[in-house]
Amino acid sequence: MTPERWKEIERLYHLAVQQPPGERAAYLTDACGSDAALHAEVESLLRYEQAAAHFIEPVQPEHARSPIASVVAQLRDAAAPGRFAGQRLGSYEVQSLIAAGGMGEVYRALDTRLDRVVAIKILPDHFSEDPERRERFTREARIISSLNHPHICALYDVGVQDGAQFLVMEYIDGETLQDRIQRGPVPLAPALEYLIQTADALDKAHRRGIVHRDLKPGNIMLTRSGVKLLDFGLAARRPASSRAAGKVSTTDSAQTLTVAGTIMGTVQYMAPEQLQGQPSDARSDIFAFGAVGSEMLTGTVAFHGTSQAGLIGAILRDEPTPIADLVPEIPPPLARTLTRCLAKDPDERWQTVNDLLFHLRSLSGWSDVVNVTDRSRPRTSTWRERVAWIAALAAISVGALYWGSRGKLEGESIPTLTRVEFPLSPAEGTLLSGPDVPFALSPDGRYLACLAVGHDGITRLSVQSLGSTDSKLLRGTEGASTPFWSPDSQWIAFFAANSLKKVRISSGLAQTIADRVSTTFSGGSWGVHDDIVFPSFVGTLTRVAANGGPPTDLGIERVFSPHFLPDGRHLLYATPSPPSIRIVTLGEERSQTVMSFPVRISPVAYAAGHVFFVQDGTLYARPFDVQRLGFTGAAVRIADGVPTFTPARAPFSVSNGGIVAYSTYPLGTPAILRWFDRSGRPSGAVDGPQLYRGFDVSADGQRIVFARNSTTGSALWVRDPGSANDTQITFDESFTPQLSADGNRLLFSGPGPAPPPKLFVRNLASDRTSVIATTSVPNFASDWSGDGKSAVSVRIDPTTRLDVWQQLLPKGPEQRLPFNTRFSESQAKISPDNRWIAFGTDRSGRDEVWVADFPSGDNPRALSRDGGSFPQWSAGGKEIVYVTEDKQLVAVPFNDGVAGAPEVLFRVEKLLDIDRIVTPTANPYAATNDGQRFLIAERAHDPNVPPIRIVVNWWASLSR
Amino acid sequence: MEGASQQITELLLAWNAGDEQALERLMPLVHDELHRLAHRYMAGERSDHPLQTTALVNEAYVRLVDSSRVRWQNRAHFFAVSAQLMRRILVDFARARQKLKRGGDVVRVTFDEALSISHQPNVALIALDDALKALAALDERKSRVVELRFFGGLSVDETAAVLKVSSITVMRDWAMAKAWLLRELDTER
Repeated sequence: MTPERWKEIERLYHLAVQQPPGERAAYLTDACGSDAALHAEVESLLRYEQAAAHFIEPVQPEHARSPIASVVAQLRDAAAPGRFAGQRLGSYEVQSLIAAGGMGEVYRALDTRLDRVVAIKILPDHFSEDPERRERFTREARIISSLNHPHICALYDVGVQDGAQFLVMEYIDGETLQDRIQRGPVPLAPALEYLIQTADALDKAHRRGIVHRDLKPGNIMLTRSGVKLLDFGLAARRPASSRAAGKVSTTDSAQTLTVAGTIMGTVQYMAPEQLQGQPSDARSDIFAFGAVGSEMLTGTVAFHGTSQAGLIGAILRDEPTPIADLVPEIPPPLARTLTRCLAKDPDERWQTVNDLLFHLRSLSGWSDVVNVTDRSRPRTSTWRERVAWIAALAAISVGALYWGSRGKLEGESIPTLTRVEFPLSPAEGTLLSGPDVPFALSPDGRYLACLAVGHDGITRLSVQSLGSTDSKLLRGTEGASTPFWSPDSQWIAFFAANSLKKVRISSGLAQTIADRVSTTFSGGSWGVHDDIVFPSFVGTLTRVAANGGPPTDLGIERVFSPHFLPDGRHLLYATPSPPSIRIVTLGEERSQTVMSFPVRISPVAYAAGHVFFVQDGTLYARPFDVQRLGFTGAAVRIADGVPTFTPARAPFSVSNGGIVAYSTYPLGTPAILRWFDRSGRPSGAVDGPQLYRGFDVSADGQRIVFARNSTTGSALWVRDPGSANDTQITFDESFTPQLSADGNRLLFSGPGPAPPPKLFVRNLASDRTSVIATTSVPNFASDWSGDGKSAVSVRIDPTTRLDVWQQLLPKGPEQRLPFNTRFSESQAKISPDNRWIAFGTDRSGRDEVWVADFPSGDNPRALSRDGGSFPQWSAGGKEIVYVTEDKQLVAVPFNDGVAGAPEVLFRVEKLLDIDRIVTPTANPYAATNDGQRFLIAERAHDPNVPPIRIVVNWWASLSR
Repeated sequence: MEGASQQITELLLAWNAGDEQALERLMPLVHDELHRLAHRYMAGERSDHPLQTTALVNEAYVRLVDSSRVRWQNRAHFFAVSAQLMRRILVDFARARQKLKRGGDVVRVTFDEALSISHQPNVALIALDDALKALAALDERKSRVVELRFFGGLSVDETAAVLKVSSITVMRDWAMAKAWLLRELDTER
């Protein structure tokens, strides 16, 4: 085609596009004359003009303002405002009308007593008529007037005169956010600042139990000193007594809707539960916050409706306007943070403004934005995912049938099918992370068992059907970990507290198989002869009948991830010394190595003629002959990005029928670190959500050191006061950091070049790290001695379990302290005066805190009586703090070796559970030396958790 | 990363001031970063719409450029460079992956909805790249407009600034290029 020809086509195309659709054909015929080829070319392009409108379109320009603003403006004009101007209300001289609307009129006035300018809001008559409401209004106003916050418009006074009820407020010079948005979207930097200030204000109010309930751009003033929130908690409050008395069921929405003039403006930011008349709480403010934030950044409302009904429908049903699509410059984490506010179900939103605030603050520096963007997309269960998933299952039924009927014919040619991989967002509350792999596929591939944290904070098993969108929570599975299935896919076995249990999925009936067993969080397996095996304590292979009975020790040590082969007689397992896969025949003590791990020990599983394991982040399947008990070919890559963690844990699960589930999220429980004062009042989050494996605070509470787990392993970070960024100080796997009394040296554990974990000391001033002890058993940093001259650590011993040791630094003599028994002694903490040692032990049959003399280790005696763990010294060594079984922090005065009466400080419901096998000296909290503050790890939702990946027909990978 | 960010910012400023060599030194730095980002994106086998490229380039930008020092025009230039690189990287990835998958009879089953979700991004990306090449032969500027808008995530105004044409021209080019590409990509035709 010649350039001239192309120019002609282009010219005609643009001319034709400008014609009304009905006239294009005629126009084209006319313009092209006898040039049929030209006509055909332009006409065919025109046929795609419509469809092209949405093709590869990066931005949907949607800056048209909603009709709301104009409606509100009309309503304002329709009122008859201004009648109070020039009047006197008490000691206030009303000067001029500032604004008027359905919620009343606002005047500028002079407080003649204080000679200051104030704003007076006069409420509409219908607010003043109901005495009950009036009384409540006054009461609430008092509470609000106590809200002293730089970003909340201060309420000075309330009053009634001639039947008119009025509020006297801080006079604010500025414009409303609503007015500002009318000029277009707010740029990112100021928008983020406004959001943070607004969230900060909401946080303060929520902590006092005050919910705004009518957050909207019209209630947010922008001033030179930042945001000011107006109308706190006054709007549309439902009188509690009328609900109690069973009167007409007025709801927030119904009531608001009847308040003339507030209709559109308010509904626009109302949460679904408010619109449906369900109980609303602080999370409804979070929804409104998300709607306001989205509108501020995009310049367009989050939900669209041409009528009120349409708008309500949109809020209840539609996904919000996608922020990132409208304004691609917005960092994805910010868009996600706001989108999460807008979840239909309050339980899926941020649960507190404080969490939200923490996230917003972390976004306010670019570098942080980038860090967060590093993660995968947030967990959102989309319709598309579901449809794709169900379609995939339909597609694989052929494959499942194949293995269902012929699965035993090992070595047969593998059916050539298509491999499909999907993200599966599990049901709400599902943990993708925990001490052990928190999900398991049923052998028939029809169900995924997951651990899920309920609203009560308790972990239970949940079963998700892969063939539909159903999932159900199983009762009687409280505190579950390490789920694994029976071979017939009817039962799920799991550990809870010190028991091994099973639950039948059809009836939901849970039964105990064995009590007083300890899990290593390293798997379990249920064979066809109804034997269950699992590694207990330090990896002793233990067997128990699935129908119950006493567990028997099979005499094989250092077993991880045992897995029955289909005959129910042979077992595969992983062992760390040397890292390899071994096979054992049940009833025999001899075992044989079938494969060495080239990189790191990994869990193992068998399905459909293959053994699965992870090496260096890749999940492999290697053909295995169950008759000859050996591999028959090379390993095939199934999936990448699967992390492994010591000892021998990796998030994947396999089933017959060609389905594999895996996750790219590191194991561990996400938590947020927060300071609490002695009365249990929390302050803002300090760090997180992260997967902590121990943290510590210097004696003065200034320096904090964390061990954070990630896909690349656990690393230590230091945060110093005044420094904007945390410093990563170790890059190898390292955990359980303990700061010396002067805060300059760090004792920690890590495997170093090879397992097991050993002790290191790092001088934070010189940045030098040195190994101080290499032991044949895992050795975990517990504390410094009070004089800083020796290290106290906890070692795992196959016979005497956890023991406390002391070693003189740098490489001096070491001793097993005499109070150790064949039970566990762990979490040792030395008093600052170096005279006493507090430690946790289960020698009485439950976890208790004990004290002994130090350094002799003599004279051990119980400190706690009703269960206790994680002792910490505080009050300069005059007090020991510990955690009870129901997560209360208890302080016991301790003077000259004599303990006083325990005092319950407060309860931390979401206190992080510690993986006591993998990192026995990791802690869920740290006390400052003065005992006035506690840095506490609370379980938290990590918004960046990726979905579980489901691979269907993995064996298609074999033909690659 | 701070060092790289500073370096890139300096180079962008130098380039904008007329130093053409700065661009040559800039490209490999940006390429590395985009490559890393794109790799992560593709390695995730996300079934996302390919439009996520915009987010990737943005991510590279905030990661590499000290935005307080760089004015709007620099940003557009950065994105222009990135758009070109991003196109190359993504298409390379897609092709590599296609090659991998062609082992079995994998990509042929086009009517399976499930399949289309996990594989289409590769197919579509390669086809789009081919079509863009064809368009470039016919009309270089339109092809550039698509590259900047789609792979670089530039707005109409930014695209106009980079190509030194009016925004109206960009919009017209964009609309027609899309119709042309869509026709080219329509295999049913």
